[in-house]
Amino acid sequence: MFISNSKIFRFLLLALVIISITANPGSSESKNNGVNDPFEGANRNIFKFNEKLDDYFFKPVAKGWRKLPDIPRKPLTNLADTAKVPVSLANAILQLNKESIGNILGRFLVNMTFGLGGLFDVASTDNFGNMPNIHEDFGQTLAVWGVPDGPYVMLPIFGPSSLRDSVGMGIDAVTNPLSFAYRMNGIGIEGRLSGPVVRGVTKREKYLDYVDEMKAGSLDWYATMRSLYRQRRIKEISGELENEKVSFDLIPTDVYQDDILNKQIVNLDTDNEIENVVKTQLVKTQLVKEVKAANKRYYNGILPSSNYPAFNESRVNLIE
Amino acid sequence: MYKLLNSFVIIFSLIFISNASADTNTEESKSFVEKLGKEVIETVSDERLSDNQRRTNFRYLYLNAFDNFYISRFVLGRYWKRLDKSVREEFVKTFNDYIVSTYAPKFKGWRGEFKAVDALIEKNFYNVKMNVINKDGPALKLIWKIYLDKNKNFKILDVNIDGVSMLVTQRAEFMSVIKNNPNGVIGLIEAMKKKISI
Repeated sequence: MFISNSKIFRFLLLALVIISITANPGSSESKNNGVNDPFEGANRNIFKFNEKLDDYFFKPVAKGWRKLPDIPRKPLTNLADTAKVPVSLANAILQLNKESIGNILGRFLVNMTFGLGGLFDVASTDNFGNMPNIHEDFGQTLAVWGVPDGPYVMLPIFGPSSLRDSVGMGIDAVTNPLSFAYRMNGIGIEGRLSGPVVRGVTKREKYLDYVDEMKAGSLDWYATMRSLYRQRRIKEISGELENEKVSFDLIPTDVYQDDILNKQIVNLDTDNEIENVVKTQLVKTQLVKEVKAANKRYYNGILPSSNYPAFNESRVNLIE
Repeated sequence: MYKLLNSFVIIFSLIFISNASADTNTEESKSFVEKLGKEVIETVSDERLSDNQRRTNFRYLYLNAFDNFYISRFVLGRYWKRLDKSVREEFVKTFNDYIVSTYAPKFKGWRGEFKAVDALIEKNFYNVKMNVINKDGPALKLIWKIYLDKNKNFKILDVNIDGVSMLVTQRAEFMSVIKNNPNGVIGLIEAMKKKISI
């Protein structure tokens, strides 16, 4: 067992080195428009397979899970959540993230004592100050250590990931302190799987309606999922509990600071044309209205921010 | 000395005034978003409405409360520059139709509780945090990104749902569609039209 473990470990280490060398965020992002998905063809095929699996297995199971009464459902969810604590805590320590360490430990202690050994999630109630539920994994630890995320990878069954996070997932699985405990007590694979399965089903249940709704409106579901995964991951790694700045940091402003673009937008406005028409044709009652409309829409150069393009209402009329 | 004192007084009063107006605006930005939520419940969510009427009402709210022109430009990213006027107009028009036909049906029968909990100013923007509690389904943390236009109307630029920006997600999707479609942006417009007609 130890030999195979060290083999896996060596493989993961090698993979890590390879990412660090190959994943150069600067060059790859400019080439791929920030997508960094060189295996897109293969990924899309795996995604198709995952979607089928979801339709025929995970979705029905999640629907069934939702129908269960609260009593077996919630304690099971909480237990599976508590089982994740050792990995989270280990990673929080590796990241030297004091806030996360405090939160994870505090939550764990409260739920183990007042929550009757993790059956009830009392830490999230108002009485204990709504302690946030933080998960740290080795992918995040690697990110904190400065390893770039590398190409986007679609894993069978597990879903969207990146090369770095896949490696992190493997290391988490191998080094999970619980797996040592399982081994000591002779618990087989079927016993070990209960945690991840319950967590997966709970997560799927949580997003049951949203995923279906988003999928129905999407033109390219694969690309949407890829973007959602990346954004969520950035949020998790930035380490802030409620990171309200995520969306603003993500908006690249350079696209809009282009002078030529701004000129084109100003030229697009028909306001000046309307004004000229008014001047040459003199005042007619119908035109007065147009002048009013034009004045209302007149672009006065006020920008919502230097980082953003000028707001221009003339387009609004176009649509109606 | 007297001059110095005077300038201090002026500076302090200026700071006070600017702070006061900032405070009222942040409060107003919160009530703007909450009012929008109420309007959605009143005019879009009602199950008795016909689908057509729901779309019309939603379109009205969307065009008034959101900066639809900015959003259209943003989601096209670098492709916007390369388009001529007629294609841009066609895109903005189709994209608005697409938004309306995608989002309006989602609000059918929606009855969530929502509360704007906080508003922060960042640069010239208001970030209004909102908690939404759905009847069934998870509670969501929303952040609305809003600015005041020159007519002193609030306009929404982006909605961030649990750390995911709708604007960024939409752009990522469109970039991929354009890249994989031989007709580029025209192909995207056609794909949107097809989706609307379903």
